[in-house]
Amino acid sequence: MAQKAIIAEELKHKIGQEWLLGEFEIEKGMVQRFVRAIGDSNPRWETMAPPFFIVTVGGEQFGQQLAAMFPDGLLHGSTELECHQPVRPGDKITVTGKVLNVRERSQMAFVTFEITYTNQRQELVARCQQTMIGYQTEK
Amino acid sequence: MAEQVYYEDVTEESELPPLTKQPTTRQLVMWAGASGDYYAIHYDKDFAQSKGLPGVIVHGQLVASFLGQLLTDWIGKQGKLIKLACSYKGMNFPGETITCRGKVSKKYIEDGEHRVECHIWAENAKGEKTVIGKAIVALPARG
Repeated sequence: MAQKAIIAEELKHKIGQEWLLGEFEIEKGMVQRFVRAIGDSNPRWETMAPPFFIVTVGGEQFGQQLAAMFPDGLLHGSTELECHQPVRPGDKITVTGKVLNVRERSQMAFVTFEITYTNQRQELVARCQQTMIGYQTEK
Repeated sequence: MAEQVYYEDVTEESELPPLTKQPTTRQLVMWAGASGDYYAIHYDKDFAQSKGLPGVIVHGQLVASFLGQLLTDWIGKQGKLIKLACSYKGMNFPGETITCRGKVSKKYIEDGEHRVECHIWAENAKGEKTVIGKAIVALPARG
């Protein structure tokens, strides 16, 4: 309980601050690993990425940060993805994160992040709101 | 691949062709590698149980990706996915059959595009909706 409250307080102070998750060059192999993991054999994905692929770009970095923010229990609440531009191998994607809001309910912390993806032409590729739920596990 | 669907072909209440998946633990590991989500509740049973879960659970975003495929399979080459929103309401377990479904809720023209809004969801073999959401797509028009 105490731990959850500290996380929520720390994150509330970060609301609105943007940070860089990284810059990533999209390789064909990344897209192929994604479609194979889903089992999507659509030939269209040989030259472009499926729209939901973008959420995995910087996913490892975001996951590591989440694990540090929520060392106890963590579940995924929701995902809201807006797609603006298609992604193709060779694109260079810059990923930034931001805390949009923090709510506490029934001993759980609901934290909504906004992840923004832009390409090498400074075009907005996608924006995604991810709500994560931090909870206390019984010790 | 199915034939291209056009805006005129769709009515409110039209159902999307369902998509069935049965992710194994191997597929969860493939997804972990592809997505960078290495949270151990998705591959380590002891770790999952220490977090209060009954066992290893399917990544919510893998199910969301299945919903993405449901949509891209349906809208075809000329369609465009504009928005996909979903809430993870329940857990899916490896080996379970997951059926992704969708139903058209609205069609309208905006920003010069022929847009269609759909309710989308994933259900388990008991018919429980574990992921529910909404999508907006643009379809080509016959004009």
